[in-house]
Amino acid sequence: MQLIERYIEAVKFWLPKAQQEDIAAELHTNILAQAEDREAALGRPLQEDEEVAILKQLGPPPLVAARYRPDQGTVAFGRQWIGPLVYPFYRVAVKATLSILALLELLSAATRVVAGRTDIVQAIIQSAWQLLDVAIMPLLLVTIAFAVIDYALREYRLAERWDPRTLPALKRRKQVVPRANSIAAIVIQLVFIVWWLSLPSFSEVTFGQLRPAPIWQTLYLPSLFIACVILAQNVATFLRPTWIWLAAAAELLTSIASLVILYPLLQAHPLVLLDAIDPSALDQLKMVKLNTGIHFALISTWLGILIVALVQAVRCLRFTRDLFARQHRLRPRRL
Amino acid sequence: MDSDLFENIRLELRRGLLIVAVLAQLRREHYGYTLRKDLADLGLEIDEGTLYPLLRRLETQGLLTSEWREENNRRKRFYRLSADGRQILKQLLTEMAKINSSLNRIV
Repeated sequence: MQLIERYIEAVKFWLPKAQQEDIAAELHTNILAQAEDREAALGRPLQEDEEVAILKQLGPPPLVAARYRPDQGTVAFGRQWIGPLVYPFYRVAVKATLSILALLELLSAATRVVAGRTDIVQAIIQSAWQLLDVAIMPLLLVTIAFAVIDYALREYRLAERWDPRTLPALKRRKQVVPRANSIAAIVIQLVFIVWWLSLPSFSEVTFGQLRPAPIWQTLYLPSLFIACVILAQNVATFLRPTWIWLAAAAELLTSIASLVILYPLLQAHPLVLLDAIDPSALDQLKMVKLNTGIHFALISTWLGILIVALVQAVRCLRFTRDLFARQHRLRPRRL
Repeated sequence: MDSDLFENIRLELRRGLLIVAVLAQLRREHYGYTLRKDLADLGLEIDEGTLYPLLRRLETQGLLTSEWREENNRRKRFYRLSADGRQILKQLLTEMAKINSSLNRIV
């Protein structure tokens, strides 16, 4: 019956997350009942070929999952180009394409605003207009690709040629954070905290004639706090490796905190000072260039942290949604 | 080409009738596999890939209710016609009878 388990896992992969477990459990029950019925009729356990026959009758996992998806529909211009079986995946691909393009436009707008080249409203209008322009070709290509897939499925009867024996092997059920990863993270954080705590014992940090501007001192305590939060999270993850949500939640919190504490630095100028008693005009020009370079590096870092925060926010939302879905499933429905 | 056309029309014709058959059969409680078997025994074959998602859709539309329950040491999801489903089924059966009687006069 391992083939049936592999089949269910494969179907699950393509199902909407909120209903994944519920639909998979029901489908599993129905397939097992059918297999047991067949075994009772034959008076012996099923052989692999007989299991294959049952699964082939059901169809390839992506197509079975597509029938359960709420986003049923077709794409038709004159004739049908994308049928109901492929349509749910086409919708996912369109959404993903638009999300990636929108994110790139958002980043470009944020860079323009932070660099002071435009104001927020103008940047949003420009990006929205730009998105309409750049999205046409990728969406057309995605539509053509899915129309070809739909055509191939129908014309060459690919679904009928599918062989359940090619299904991937079962994965470990529970997702865990490897303890080795937690240990490495704990060691790195400890080394960082010890180094950070030792900084005030140096009267003044300088790099040759260069000295960081006083505004950098405002980072000292918040950075220490963030390092301690990350350390605590890694200790907790080491003790409870199945709490994968904890890493996402901690990273979301620390990213938001980093965005807040780094923001004043984006407005500050200069970021690095020269210690020379009487700097020459050339030195001053080099300092302007150096400060501009550091300023852009900070903007890039800030945008990078913003992306991390957004990714972790999405992960946290998914964990919360899964938790609600699980609680809902555990509550028996009444007839 | 002609066989494709026939197949498309046949599927369209079956689609609505299958819903009526499923609703009618679920006046008595069933889980997916036994429902399919009972319908097949009564001469109406429905493939699993169509029936199981159809049950979900009918439940979402409020025509069926369902409950997870243990039977023979296995948890199964049992479906039954809801009050709304009973009402709709009654209307559908009346409509079908009308169409049938018209068809008998036409053909």
